[in-house]
Amino acid sequence: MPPDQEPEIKIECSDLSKTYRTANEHVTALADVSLSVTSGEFVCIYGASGSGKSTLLHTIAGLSDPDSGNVQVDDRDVFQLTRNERADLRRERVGVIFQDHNLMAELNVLENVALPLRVGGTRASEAKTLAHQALSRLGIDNLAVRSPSELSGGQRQRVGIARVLASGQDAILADEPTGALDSTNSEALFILLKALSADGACVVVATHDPLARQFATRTHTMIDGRIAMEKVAGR
Amino acid sequence: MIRPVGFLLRTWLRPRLVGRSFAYLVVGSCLAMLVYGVVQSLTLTAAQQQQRDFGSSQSMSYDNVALGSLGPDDLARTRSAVQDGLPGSAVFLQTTQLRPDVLPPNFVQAPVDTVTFIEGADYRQAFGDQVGLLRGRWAGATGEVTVSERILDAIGGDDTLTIYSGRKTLKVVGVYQDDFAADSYLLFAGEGTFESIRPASVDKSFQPVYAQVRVLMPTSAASQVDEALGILADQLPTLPDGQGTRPENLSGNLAVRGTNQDGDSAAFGREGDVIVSFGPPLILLAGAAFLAAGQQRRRHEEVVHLLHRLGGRPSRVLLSRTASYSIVALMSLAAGTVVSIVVLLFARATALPAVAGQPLAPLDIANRQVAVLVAVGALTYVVATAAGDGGLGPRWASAVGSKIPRHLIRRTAGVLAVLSAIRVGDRVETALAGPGDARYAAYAMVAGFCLLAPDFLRVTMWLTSRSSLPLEVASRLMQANLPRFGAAVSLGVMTLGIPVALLVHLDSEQGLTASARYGIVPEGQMWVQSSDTSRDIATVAAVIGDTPGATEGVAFRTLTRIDDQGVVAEAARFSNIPGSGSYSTAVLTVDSASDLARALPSLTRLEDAARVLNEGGVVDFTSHDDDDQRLITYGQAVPQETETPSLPTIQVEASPQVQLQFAGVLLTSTAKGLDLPIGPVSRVIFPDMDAATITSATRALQDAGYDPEFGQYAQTPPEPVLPVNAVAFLLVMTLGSIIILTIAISEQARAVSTSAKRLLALGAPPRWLMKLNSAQAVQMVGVSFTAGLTSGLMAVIVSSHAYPALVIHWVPIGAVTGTVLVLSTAAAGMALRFNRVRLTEAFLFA
Repeated sequence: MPPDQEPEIKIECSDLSKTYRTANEHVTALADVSLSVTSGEFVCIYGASGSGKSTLLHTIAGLSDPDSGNVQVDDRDVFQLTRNERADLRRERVGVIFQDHNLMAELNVLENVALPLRVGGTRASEAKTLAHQALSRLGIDNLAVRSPSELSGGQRQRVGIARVLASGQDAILADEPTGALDSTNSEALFILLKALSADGACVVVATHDPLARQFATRTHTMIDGRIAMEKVAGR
Repeated sequence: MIRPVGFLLRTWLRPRLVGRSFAYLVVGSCLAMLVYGVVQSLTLTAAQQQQRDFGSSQSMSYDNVALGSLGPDDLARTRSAVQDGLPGSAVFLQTTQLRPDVLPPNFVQAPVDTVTFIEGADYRQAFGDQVGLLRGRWAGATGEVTVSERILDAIGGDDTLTIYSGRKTLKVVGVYQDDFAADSYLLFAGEGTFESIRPASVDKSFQPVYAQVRVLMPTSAASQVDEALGILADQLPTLPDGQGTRPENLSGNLAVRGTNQDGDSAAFGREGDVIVSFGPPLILLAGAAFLAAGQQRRRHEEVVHLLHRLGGRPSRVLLSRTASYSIVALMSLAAGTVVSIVVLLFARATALPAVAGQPLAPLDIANRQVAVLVAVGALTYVVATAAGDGGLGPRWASAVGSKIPRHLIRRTAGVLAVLSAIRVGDRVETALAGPGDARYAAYAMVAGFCLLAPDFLRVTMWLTSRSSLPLEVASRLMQANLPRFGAAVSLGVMTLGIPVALLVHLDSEQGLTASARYGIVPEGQMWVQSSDTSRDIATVAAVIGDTPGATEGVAFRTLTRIDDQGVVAEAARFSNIPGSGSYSTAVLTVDSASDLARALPSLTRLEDAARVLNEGGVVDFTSHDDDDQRLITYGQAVPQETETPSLPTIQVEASPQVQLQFAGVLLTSTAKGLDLPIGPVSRVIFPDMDAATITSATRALQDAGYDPEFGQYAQTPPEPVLPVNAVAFLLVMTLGSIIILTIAISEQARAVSTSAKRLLALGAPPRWLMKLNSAQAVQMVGVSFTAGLTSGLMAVIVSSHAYPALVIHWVPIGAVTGTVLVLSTAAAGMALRFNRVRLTEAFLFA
């Protein structure tokens, strides 16, 4: 974590509710979900597909408005922020690893990783150096000049993670980060995220991969939009 | 085989895959057809043109007769004879030659805006309801005329009208409204008026002054027509030697009329029509087809890839996909055509009747040119869609093979178009071939710019991308979508380029007509000449030369021969003029080099020209840079050609009016030395004549019994007036192009919004995205505007040599330019709205 950034972050969700309405049905994605995460924690949001994990992560990141409830990051209500401020928050404090990787097809790997830094005003050379470092840390520096379309699913996932590493946000929200990985790589990824949390990052992983629970300091199991169970590691 | 292909076909035709493309093609074809339909509505049909030229009566027989050959009572006697033989018939005289003095002389080369003089008690029977009396009464007595509003304007509302350089003053007794031929000068005269005017006799006429003696019969029975022809043949004066017999002439005229009546009524885009052409609507439709293809090409490649991986046999997938393209193309083009017809019918029922000339139904949509238009649109769409983006699917998925370097093809075509435009627009070629080729050169230039527009955009992006991150990202996004952005920019180029080029061509074409009609004599000179070499030019020139204040004339002689018909004709041409002399104008002789300098002081290199002439050489106005000229002469009465030795030659630039009439000059003494067939004086030029002297000389000719048109002088051409169909063409073309451009820009923005969403999720603030989108819009509009304007101006430049002078009316060009800029900016603004990404679940889970 870069030394000039704030060392601590605290994310608090209170009574989050969210319902998707279609012509034929109403689907409850979140139902009175409350959650608190701080620096150094590795929290696993575990559940089956459609249980509301991704909605919870996107709501925390300010990408989706809840019907009710609020999210506070460092005592700031995310939904009271303007859209520009929310964007700043994602870029500087809360990084997201997307399930679909969210890579720009028009940019190569290095440019994708460096993009949030450049958007934030970091000089091109410095952004490139940080991007290279992040890629090296994940062992994919050799892919730097490739286009996303030339990568496998697992490689794309690691590029998405490298982008968050390079940006150095205090919180990392990972949405199904091992969806495209085999068991070996999945384990390696969780080890990496664990190491990040050990370094002081706040890591929240939404996944249906049971392996994640072995690394998490805390696991919340979601069923039909509710946190049905909470398990703290070692208890 | 059939069942899986049918299933695949239904898959391809799902609305999400083809819906937008279908809409594009409907809009594009509808607009193209509207261009055609509106213009066609405002263009006279062949039958209407026939009616305009020959009158409304269908049961008509007529013959041309030289006015000067009609003796006293000839017309009355002919009328009496016809009415005795064919009771109920009407006989009247129609001529374009008896103009009021207030109008320009008729020695001009193109018979436009001529006065139609109709005399006869039964004239209204011939024109029926097409003319309506506004005030006064119809002319009845000798010396009375009823004039059109336009003539009344020309004579300043006076109640008298002086005909033919003071020969006769007529009394205006009424004014009529001519709905059918509103732009013509048509006057009706009372019985006997023509005889009271007495035009110059045939031998003293500048050229044969023809009139039509017309017979209107109660029925069109062939026997009656034959009887009328027989009576006319008996009563009218015999034709001069070498012009056949009167019955032959009558039959020939009747045949010409029949041919005209059967003529093709598709006036749109006809050969020789410089302004209205199928080219622009074709480009419009092709642009729409490209956009339509761009909407589904990538998605189709993905589906092809998917089906292939799922076990779809390549032949079936490809067959079904191609079939779907054909179905979409045909259905959408048919729908667009139907919509355009409905719109046209509505317009004809509401707005167009006041100006439309063509009958309401059936609209002439089903002709060969329209079929070509539709076919090109469909083919463009099918090929462009099948071409594929490359890289997404297997190679076989692309109908033309994914390894073909399409960018290279496009660039090569663009460069070739520009080069060919420059070549066709070359001074020599175009000056010889005429403005028709200039139009093609102009269109080729605009098309070339359209093809190269994506590269202009690419260069612009490259130049600007390093100035800021939003611009850099904007450029990268646009580069990744260059085919679609490029298509939009190409449309922008077309939107501006075509109207600018067309407007200048329209004005310049009219300027050319005006020049040919009014500018054949330079200012301050008086020329005596005749197209008929049998005229006694020397005597006419003597009359002018005796006028007080007149300068000494410079006489030119034509190298002439007498052909096997006994007709005096041109006898020599330069050897290096292409086309076997078909473009050649006369090679004349002059007595001395100083005479040439006096007569044509505007020539360049006069001193050198004098030296070459005195050395026995020739002065060449044809602009053919070649070796020294030889003269090819024709034998007398036999088609035998001989060549002179090579003569010292100097190329001299001459004004267009000189070029139109002289191929070159040599000294008379040189011609004698070469034993060339020197004819009599064919042209006399009086330099440095002031206006008063010219007027006096004209009167002198009149007093001597000559047609005053022998004495020609510079005329001020009227201001060009845009034909209504050309205006409609420009308006609909511009409107159509802007609609397509608007859709295109919006569509590109929609495509880019996907990338914008990704950036937003990564923490790029919306304000930053707005910068990005603005940068894209500015680049697209800027490149479209700059390249469009440049293409229009380049089109004008490459074709400028086709015209003696470019006539540019800046107001309409400015209006079109401003409109395009405003509307394309508005389109870009609309595009920005699409990019205002909202943080909704629809965005996240779309």
